[in-house]
Amino acid sequence: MTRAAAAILRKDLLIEVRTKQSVPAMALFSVTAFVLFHFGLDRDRLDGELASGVLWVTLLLATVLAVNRLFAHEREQGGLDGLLLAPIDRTAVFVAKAVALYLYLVLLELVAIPAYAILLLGPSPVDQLPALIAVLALANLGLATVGALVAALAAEARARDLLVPLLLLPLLTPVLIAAARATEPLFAVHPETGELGKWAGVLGLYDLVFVLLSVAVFDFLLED
Amino acid sequence: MLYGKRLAPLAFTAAALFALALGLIFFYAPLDADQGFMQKIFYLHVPMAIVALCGFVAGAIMAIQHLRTGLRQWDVRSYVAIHLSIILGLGVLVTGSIWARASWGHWWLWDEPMLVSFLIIFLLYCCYQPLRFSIEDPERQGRYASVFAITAGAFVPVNFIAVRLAEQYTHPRVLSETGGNLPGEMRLTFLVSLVAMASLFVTLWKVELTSKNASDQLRKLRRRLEGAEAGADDEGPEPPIADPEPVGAMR
Amino acid sequence: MIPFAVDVPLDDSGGYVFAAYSVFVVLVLIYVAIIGRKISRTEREVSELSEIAEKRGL
Repeated sequence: MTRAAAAILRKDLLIEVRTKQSVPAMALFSVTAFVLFHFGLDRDRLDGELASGVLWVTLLLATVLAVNRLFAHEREQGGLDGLLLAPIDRTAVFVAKAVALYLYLVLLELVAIPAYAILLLGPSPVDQLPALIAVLALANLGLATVGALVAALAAEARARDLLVPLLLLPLLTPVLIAAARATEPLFAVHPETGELGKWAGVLGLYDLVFVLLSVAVFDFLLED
Repeated sequence: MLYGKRLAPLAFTAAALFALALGLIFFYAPLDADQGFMQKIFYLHVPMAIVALCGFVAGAIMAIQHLRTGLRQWDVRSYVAIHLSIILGLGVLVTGSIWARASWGHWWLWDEPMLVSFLIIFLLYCCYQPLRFSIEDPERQGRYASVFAITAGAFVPVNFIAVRLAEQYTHPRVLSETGGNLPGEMRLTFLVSLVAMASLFVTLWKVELTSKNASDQLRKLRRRLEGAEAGADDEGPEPPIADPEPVGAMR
Repeated sequence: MIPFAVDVPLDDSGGYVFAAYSVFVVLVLIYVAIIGRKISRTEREVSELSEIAEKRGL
């Protein structure tokens, strides 16, 4: 299964590198969102809970963009049938898509976090960088797993562009809650770690539940 | 299979339990020290919430059965359970809002974990029917709906934990709900209300299943009769549970 | 006046409790109405099918 997953992943990443669809869109969206927040909130600098919230809501919405496009190539070029006919575990498709989404998120964050630090964030995140990276890593796992699941769920539906955000955002609310609460003290005027352990625990629980669930259930999607 | 068989006794039991519960609520349970008469809403709101949550989880379990066995009847059962829980969930939100308004003057309270969790869950499950309606192939519709039901069912507890933790240190629990610190009479009343609500749910669940089953059998019968006319012999495919084009819409 | 163990405050709180319970009752009744509509549709179909069966001489 790993070989199949790796093959699909490599194909997806190659397509992304050549067409440059998802990641640049996500990055552009995020920076635009920061500008909107500046005007909407009428603030030059954010810290603490406001900073945390703005960042995570933006990341979540950017994830929606990527999820919408996750199966786009298969749908448009008809590659889905090819995938289904191949004698591989459906789970390989899931793993490939989830890892791809994870990588897109990492690339996004490499751009968006510095942009955020420059544009809107008051306190410098550099001191608390390890904690921030830990939160991002855990949260990305949840976002990628559930994102891939919802992408597959909505893949065959009509009006899937509407369905994806409506399905995805409530499902991701725990990630938002835990990640935002976790980074709140990191972005405070006097940065500190706060209750990182507790929120990392919640993120870990979420990730565990949904990774197990997705692996168990994915075979039933994309079946024909 | 026939769902209507023991429906009448079930319904009568539910009615009796409800009468008992209402009697206890209004004539037996003492008035709450802080909230007074308004606390009576608690006996309605919390059982609805608990039953709705159990309904969602039951729907998820039935969905697992559906995926494991491939039998359509599990899909129908799951659909009805979830659909009923959504309606109950709406009731939870409205009664919770009324309670919030009565006790604290606001129509919504962010520090009430039950209410907030329910809002998120309700928003999620509102996508269940649109998802079903947008997939036309009946077999696929059932499968995808089951996957959704299982995902959402697993989501319910995780969501509760996250929301509960989020409010724990910022705001104290504002409205005392199911607490271990309920005096005896209140606890009895609450338990009876809970059982009454649960039996109502099961009754309505059976009612809807009976109705759906009957119209499904009817559709198959119609096809056989009309097919017999044309000389064809097969029963035709099973119709999807959420019909994008409901039979009889034209009449 | 009313020889029961509760006194119903007919001020604001009574109104709210009444509203909450009414919401519940109304929801249940609306549900019953929806099922009722479905049942009457089924009934109609049964009568149509019996007509077809009769025409067939079954």
